[in-house]
Amino acid sequence: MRRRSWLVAAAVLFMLAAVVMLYGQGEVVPAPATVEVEFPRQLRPAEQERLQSRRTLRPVPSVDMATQGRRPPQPRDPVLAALPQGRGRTAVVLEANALRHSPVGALLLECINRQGNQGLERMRQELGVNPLEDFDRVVVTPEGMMVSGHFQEARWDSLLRDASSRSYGDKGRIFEQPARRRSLPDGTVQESRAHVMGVWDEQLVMFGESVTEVQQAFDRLEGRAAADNPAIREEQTFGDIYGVLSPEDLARLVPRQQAELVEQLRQVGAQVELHVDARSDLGMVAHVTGTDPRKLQDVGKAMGGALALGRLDAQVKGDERLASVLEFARVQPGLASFNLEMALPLSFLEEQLAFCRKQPDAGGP
Amino acid sequence: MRPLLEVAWQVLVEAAQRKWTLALFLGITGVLVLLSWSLQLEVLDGALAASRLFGVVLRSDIRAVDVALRPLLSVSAYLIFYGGLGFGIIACCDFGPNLLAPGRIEHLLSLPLRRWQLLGGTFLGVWMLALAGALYGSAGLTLLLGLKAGLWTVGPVLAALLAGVTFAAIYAVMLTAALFVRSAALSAALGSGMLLLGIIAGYRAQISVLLEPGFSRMAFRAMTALIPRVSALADASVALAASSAVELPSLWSLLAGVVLFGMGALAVGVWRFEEGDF
Repeated sequence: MRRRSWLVAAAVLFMLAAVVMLYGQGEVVPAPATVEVEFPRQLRPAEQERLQSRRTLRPVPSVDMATQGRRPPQPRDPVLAALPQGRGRTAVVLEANALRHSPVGALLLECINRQGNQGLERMRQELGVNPLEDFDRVVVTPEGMMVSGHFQEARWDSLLRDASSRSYGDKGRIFEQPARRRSLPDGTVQESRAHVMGVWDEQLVMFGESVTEVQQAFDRLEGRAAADNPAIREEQTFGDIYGVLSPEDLARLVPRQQAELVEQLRQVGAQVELHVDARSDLGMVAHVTGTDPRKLQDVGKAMGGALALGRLDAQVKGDERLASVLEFARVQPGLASFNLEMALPLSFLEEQLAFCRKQPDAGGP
Repeated sequence: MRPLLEVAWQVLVEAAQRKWTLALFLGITGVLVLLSWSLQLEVLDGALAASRLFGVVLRSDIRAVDVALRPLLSVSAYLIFYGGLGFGIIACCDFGPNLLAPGRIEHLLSLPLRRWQLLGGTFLGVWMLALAGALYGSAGLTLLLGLKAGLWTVGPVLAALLAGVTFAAIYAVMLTAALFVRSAALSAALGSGMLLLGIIAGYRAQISVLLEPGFSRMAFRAMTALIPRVSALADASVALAASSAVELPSLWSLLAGVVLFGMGALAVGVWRFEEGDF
């Protein structure tokens, strides 16, 4: 009898084991937890096509070219042609339409809708422009902003009501609102800055503070000024956000705690080409070049170390979110440059913007 | 408890005289020494700036050292887990049959020991041997990475402990099988079969959806429900080694299930040992 009890015990133990393991593993196929980030490192086929389709600006061939039998210049992308010229400048392009239809865009739209999209609605009604549908690209430069898109229905006069407007060149129109001074009830004087807006061919709108810059952009678009060395070249137009940062602007973006790194970046004259992919998880590549390749390698190492230390610091402080984001950060050294790659998983953004999915009265920021 | 430990000690003494055991420890030591000589890691402010194995650049991108070394830790955990199980099955398959060898079993039964203590002690001795091997390898790797890269992680040691627990369940089946048929080959075959079934059982949820709904799927689920989830534990050990997220309640349940399964197999062995006429 006692011997048989071993068998009974075995049967009970096997049963228990099965139950406990079933509880532990479940019957549902676990979803893969890996994050697949696509880092934009070069022009991809879809971006090649996009690039081709944007070559709509046909430069007027000069008389010299015709007499010398030279081939007329190739059609160009008007947005790139309008950009400031030369290397070492800052210009960042946001592919507004692509971003709007990306998962990140959908998240942001939820946030806009949650806060009430009166601003967008007002733009639609008063200005005749729907930013969500009519904007194609938004370019940000230190001098101002430029938006490309479809603005045939736009009523620009209603944006700057008391601005003077005049035509410039073949297809340009400039709206100018001078700086104004206003006395406040407390006796102080408030001064508003001058606003300049340029509209070209109902497809490009530029905002800035200087009429000269808008005029120069129109000149480049209409062939009166050279536009063969734009701040962003065609082959750099990959990703959903892309652009270039000057050494000064780059140094301004690095946190003040990293003063040594800022100094190193200045010494090597570092310039950054930035590319962000938002088709699924956010993948960011910053291609850093400089005047001294050897020193640049040291900067890359220092940057990798700073990221590792930042992650460690976040872990120590219990900031798991920051730590998990910095986990994807890495520096890829090249021969005379290096790439800084970072990723922002969509799940992370969803978590951060979760409040946008709640009802406004459910509490949240 | 003391009789159990005494028997286990005797098993360890016997194991120390075997070439298999010597080969195991020399092999682990050799791999660790080779790694310490050939693996060069350049670490800067907690970031791995470069790594070379036998002078060949493994990776050139600069990232946090624990993130950069995750693949190495993962591969090591798999090696420790499956390598340890495989080696343990082969190296320990004849301990059971030797226990029952004519002449020896009579001597053992004449000692003031209960039969279950004899069996339990043998099991404990072999398990301690396997665990010591896994812990030796994983602790060596931890020390190596700590000294070379400043990465001090208990991950590989935890992975080794998981492998040890899993081996206990498999060896319980092997030892019990030896009590039915005194054959080292059969014992090893059963151990290997359990390992294979355990790998399948670990992925039972994924495999079962590939089967036609109905009897075949039900039968597959019913049969694999009893088997220790070896591959699930292997994956958990890799996650632990790489300091990745692990679902702890699930892991504890799987571990408890494996331990209960091993105890059940041993209970069958004890029943057979008590019944047997040696």
